[in-house]
Amino acid sequence: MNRIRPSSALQAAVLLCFLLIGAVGCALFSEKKFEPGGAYASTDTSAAMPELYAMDSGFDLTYEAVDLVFKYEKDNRMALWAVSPRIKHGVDKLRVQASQVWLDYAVARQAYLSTPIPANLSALKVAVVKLQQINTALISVITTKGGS
Amino acid sequence: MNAIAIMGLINSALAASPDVVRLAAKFKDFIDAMFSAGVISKDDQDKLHAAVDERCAARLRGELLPHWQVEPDPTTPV
Repeated sequence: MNRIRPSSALQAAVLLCFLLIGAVGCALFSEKKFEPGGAYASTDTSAAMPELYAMDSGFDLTYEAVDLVFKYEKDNRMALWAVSPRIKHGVDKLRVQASQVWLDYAVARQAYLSTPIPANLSALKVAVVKLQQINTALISVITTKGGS
Repeated sequence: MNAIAIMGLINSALAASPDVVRLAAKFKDFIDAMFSAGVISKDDQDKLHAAVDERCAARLRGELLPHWQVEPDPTTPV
């Protein structure tokens, strides 16, 4: 088997990452009520934004998971390089993709905040799903030494 | 894998723990919010909105954290 034994901290992170994929999926379809006065609550001039709340919470959580793996690789670069240079190369490839998805999300969010219509929401959904896929790919890179 | 690499990974397990704890806490908050009485508090809404706002604004300014940047490969022999 071409697998390394990840640290217990990383194993916990992997477990959390898989759980969050399910949780984010649930959040996208769950009904929410917002305490008045909050950033996503309705006001005198605008409706509540449960869809944006679902997107933002999904993005925020997935971003944290991706950020954790990038930080782990950078903090332990020499040790992981000794295991296999393919780990850094695989993570670097995903760094480029994740940076682009983060930018896509920021642009789409700006558009949705200025015009909150379903068409502008779909770009946010696409970005969150892509970031989740990157997160899954990152875990795979770490646990398979950069490639299966 | 050589001994130095193994030692490095053991140290990294300890070093990564606070980050994992932070992620776990965030995950718990997320689950709590999802299965709470269905009301998201003003404080929670504002906190999330501000955090995502800040992150998006930073990216639109072209900022990237150091560990998100692609750096040259290490040159030290393995």
